[in-house]
Amino acid sequence: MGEILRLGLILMLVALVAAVALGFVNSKTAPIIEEQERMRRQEAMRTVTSSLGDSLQFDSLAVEGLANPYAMVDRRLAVVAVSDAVSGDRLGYTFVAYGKGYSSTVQTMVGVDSSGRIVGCSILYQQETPGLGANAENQPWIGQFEGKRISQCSVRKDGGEIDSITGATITSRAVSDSVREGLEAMREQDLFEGGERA
Amino acid sequence: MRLWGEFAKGIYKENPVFKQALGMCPFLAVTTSVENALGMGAASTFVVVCSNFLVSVLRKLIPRKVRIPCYIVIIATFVTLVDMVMNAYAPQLHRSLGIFIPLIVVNCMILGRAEGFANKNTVIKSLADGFGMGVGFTLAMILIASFREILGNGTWLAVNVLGERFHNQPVLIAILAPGAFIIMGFILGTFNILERRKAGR
Amino acid sequence: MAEPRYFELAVSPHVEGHQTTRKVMFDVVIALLPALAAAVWFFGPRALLLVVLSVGAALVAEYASLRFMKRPISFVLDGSAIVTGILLAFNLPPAVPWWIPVAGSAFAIVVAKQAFGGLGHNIMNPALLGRAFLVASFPVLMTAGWIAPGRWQQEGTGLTTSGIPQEQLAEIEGADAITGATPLNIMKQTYDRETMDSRMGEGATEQVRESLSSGGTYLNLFLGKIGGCIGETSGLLLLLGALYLVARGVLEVRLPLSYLGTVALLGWVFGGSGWFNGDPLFHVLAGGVILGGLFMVSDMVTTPVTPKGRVIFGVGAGLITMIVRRWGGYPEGCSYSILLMNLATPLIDRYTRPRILGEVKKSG
Repeated sequence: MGEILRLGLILMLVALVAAVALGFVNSKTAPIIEEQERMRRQEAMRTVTSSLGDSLQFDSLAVEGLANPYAMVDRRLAVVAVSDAVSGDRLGYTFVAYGKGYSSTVQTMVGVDSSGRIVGCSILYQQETPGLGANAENQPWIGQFEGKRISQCSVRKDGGEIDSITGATITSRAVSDSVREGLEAMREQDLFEGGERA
Repeated sequence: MRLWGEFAKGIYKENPVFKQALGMCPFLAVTTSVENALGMGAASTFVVVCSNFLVSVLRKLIPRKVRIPCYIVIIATFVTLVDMVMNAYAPQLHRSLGIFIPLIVVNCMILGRAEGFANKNTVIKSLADGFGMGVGFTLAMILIASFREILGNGTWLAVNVLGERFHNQPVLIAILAPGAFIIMGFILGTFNILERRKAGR
Repeated sequence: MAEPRYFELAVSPHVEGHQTTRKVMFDVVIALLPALAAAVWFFGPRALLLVVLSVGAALVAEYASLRFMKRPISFVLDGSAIVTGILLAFNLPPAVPWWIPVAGSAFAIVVAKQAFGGLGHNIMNPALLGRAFLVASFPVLMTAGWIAPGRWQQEGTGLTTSGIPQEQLAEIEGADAITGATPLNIMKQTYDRETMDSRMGEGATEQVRESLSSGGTYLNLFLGKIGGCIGETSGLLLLLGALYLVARGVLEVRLPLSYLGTVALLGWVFGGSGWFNGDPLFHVLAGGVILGGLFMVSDMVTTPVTPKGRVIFGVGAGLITMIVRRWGGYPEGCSYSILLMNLATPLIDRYTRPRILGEVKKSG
């Protein structure tokens, strides 16, 4: 009995020291990690909306049924409103689309203008096959979303206007479908001017 | 000098990958580019040196019966440290190594050195051993990653080495999973031939 | 130093057959010639060039590996490398660049065959593994590059890559979208009825399916007047070659029959749009099933030796082929199904080994 107690105590001591050390390092690194993630998103937001104007202001949109930090859960997504920093006019929106690709969930930052036309896209995160699906990140492919509207936003095989990456239809579909679904959800909330339809 | 021997054996004579076949999971999974191999190698080296050090320091205090749980806690702690620090200061690398950073915990090389060396040798020796093993592991990963990146992407450390045409039409399989196994087979075969030559005459 | 002496070790029964590797392999080459002729007729002299390159590369790779491993060079001429080279080239789209068969053959011989110890020791069919290597390495080249048969002679020969006769194709609305694809590519698309209908108009799926299963298409599929890999299209001439092999006692019919039979049965069960309304004939004639079923499923080294085991192998390969065709990512699953069953061969042999005469069956 005493033996077990002694062993247990030693194990506990080791674990305790480990926990304290980790807690300390975590308290130092967590804010940096968070800040970095935020910067990256901010940076991506700016890139995909750069054509909307020079000085932009980003505000989380608190629309019922849309604002959700976890995005696309329950078919809701976190939309960020983009407006002119000076006049305050609403210029467009950005959101992150989550699509299930071949070997990862591909996250795409999407920028749209206030009429629902895509003004920019960039891949935030993907772990697709290098040389195939991973090419979605590259400009020639992701760039073709620019100027597309909801109905055009699917791969050609599915009747849209997005050329799939050769040999990586699943990734191409994941990105274009998730982007389209995001736009459709926003349309349902009447976020676009002029009643953008198919 | 004795210490040099403890260090050097990890590089060729007892190379963790080629001679002990340990740490296969990261060796096969993250070696799609030389950069990944370097990052993974550095992280693993850090962990194996630290865990060797601590295990050796505590070798008289840790009771035999609970030594394995203790080693695991020690290793897991260092791995988590690396994970957090890398995430904070090298996010790009952290993203590309992904799940394999936390998986350093189950890299048999590290537990193998703790159990097989550090718990019965002095602190200094254990440090040299851990460092040697880490460097040997890193070199092995760089070797296979070089083949894979050059064949599978036409680049070495992201520098185009085989020309634009090859880069656009590389032997993709080299950076896919089966390519890792095939290339590993060839490397191990080459090592065996070298060994046999040395032993034969 | 004296040459080491080799003793031949073999398990019983010690009855020697009259077959030698060389004889068998050259019979197989002869059996493949009609299909090669069809390939040249349909896809042009380029097809012959690809086959020659493939065979040449296989022989060079065989010689180099044997040299390197210090094994008898005479093995080069046992004919097995020639067969591997031809079969590999038969599995390539006709428009691939010249270095594709060279790379594929070299891989097939060096990695799939010699690295495992040479003929008789390889676990997987070398030609198919060579193809798998090419598909994984150069997916773009290996999934495009279909040529309409006869295209090299003149334009507008009335032949399409889909096998559907031109006049019939004209009746389908939006059919231009399906002219550049192999029959299996189109079949794959029809599984997604919604997409196909939305793109080509209501009811297009059924119309395309009907055309794929029409008499004119069957004839084109059987003769080989369709787009496809170099040697897989002509069922008629492959069958002719196979009959020769059966007559010579080289081809054992259990494997091909169980394989093709399973494909046909499952083609009927789930090869159509719903259950039990598929077209078995289409599934047997299209794609590489006949080539695979007659010449690769029956590879002596990589398939079971017991009669029961052969049937299991054929049924298993047929099942995997049809599952890939219906639900997989590729339109055709023939080569992967055979490779997967190759891996299961030792296990099948083990469990179907006949009992030794007089041995008591263990009850358990």
